[in-house]
Amino acid sequence: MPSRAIELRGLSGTVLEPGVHIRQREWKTTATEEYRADEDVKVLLIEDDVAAAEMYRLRLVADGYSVVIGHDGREGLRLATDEAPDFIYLDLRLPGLDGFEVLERLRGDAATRHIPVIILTNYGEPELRERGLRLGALEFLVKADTNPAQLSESVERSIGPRALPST
Amino acid sequence: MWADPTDTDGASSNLILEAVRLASRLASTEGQVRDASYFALRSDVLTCLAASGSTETWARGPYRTSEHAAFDRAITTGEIVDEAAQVVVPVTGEVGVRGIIVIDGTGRVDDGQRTALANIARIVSLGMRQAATVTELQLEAERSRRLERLKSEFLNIAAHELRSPLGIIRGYASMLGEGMLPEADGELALSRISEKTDEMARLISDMLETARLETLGLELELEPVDLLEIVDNAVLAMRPLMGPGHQFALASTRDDIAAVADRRRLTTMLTNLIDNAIKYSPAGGEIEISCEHDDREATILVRDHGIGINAEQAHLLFTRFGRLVTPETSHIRGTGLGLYLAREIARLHGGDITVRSTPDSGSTFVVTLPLA
Repeated sequence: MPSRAIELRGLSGTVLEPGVHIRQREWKTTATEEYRADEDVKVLLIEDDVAAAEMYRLRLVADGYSVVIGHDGREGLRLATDEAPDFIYLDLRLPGLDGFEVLERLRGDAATRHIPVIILTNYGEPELRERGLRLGALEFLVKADTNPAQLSESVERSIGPRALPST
Repeated sequence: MWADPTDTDGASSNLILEAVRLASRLASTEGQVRDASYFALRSDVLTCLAASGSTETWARGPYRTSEHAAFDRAITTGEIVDEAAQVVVPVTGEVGVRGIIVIDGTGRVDDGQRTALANIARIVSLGMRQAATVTELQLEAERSRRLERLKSEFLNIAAHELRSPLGIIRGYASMLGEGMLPEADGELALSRISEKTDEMARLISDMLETARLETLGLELELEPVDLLEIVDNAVLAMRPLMGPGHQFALASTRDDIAAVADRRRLTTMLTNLIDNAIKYSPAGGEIEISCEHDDREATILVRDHGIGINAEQAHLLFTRFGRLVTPETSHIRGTGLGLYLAREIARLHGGDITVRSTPDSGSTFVVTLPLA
């Protein structure tokens, strides 16, 4: 099946064309490396917990996304500019700059303003959720209640489906 | 404990002002109005509380004037001193004279006035005692409110600490369940699940041990042990938690260090210290663990090259619910129970844990355990 570059950016919605399907259930027996061939959708994970970042990366790569990881707030901001990701997952408790500060700066910079951000944190307090959404986060996910498969679903909901990887 | 009248805006300073005015009226005659003041005595400092409500402080000695000699005599003897220039009425508390009422102006007081002044002093003394009790009760209530607040904050922290490994366990479990992971990643997933389960187990065990310590006290299960073996096992258990930049450096004597101790509790103590060393050296570096001993005691050092702590804050490290949160550490996970529990365990063994630390160059935790 031919690959198809997705040109959607930002929040323009899901576009499905005949013959192009979201291939979520088909990776089962395929090595993750093969999916890196078609890296047209890049996800930035800003996450200081190495074990969590590793797990989410594994899943997103398996789902066909290219993944970069920022281990603290400042590195995350730098990667958001340098790597121009299509999508950002943002932790709240981070060394240096916390997630809210990162989100504010992302929103304040013309180069990163359009990138959809989902907060992914251990904190589920309503006031934090409200603050995150008010600052422009698309969703507020609590890690312990979030299945890694949901990460790709969120990306798809927000920026459109993944193209099928080249085979 | 006595409330210091000059520190109190409430009952006792009002009472003192009333007493001073009363003493002034009592000692005055129609022809002569006598001023009165109260001097609070705290160690060697006298603080004057004038009838106007203003205060003034000065050191009590050395005495150069007869006026001060009269103060001193009243303070030393606890008796009313009546001299030509003034009358000094001591106010006594449980532990001696707390202050003096000084009535200025010439002329001695008669016996009736003297008795009345002594009664005024007694009332002031009782009032101060009552105010002290009220203050003590208020402090106690404040302490217990604070503890309640700390406990709910702690519950909140502990819940989040449990959520973090739980998220990883759940995540990998779901990926394994879906059968989506290639074999190599499957092994990684299983080892992460196992590490995170251990982390949760340690957290829960620390919480249970602390709760038990507070209600029943911990009963040590003593047996002959080799301290070096316990250190080795603790290091082994914590190895998976090391970051990529960490190395363990172990230094010890060749021989066994024989002691009678609670193996499980000492392992908890050491894993908590090592966990702390790993967490608070986020940039990595060597974590040195050394053991030495003489006939009387064993010394175990756990040293990191991490962010360290200020000397002024070091004493807070070992308090229950006493996790130090600064801008540099707010993102670091932890309940604050680990070090508290570690030191309690050392103390239950008749030893102790102390800390030496320099901000930005690391901390050394020193465990001493008696061997005899």
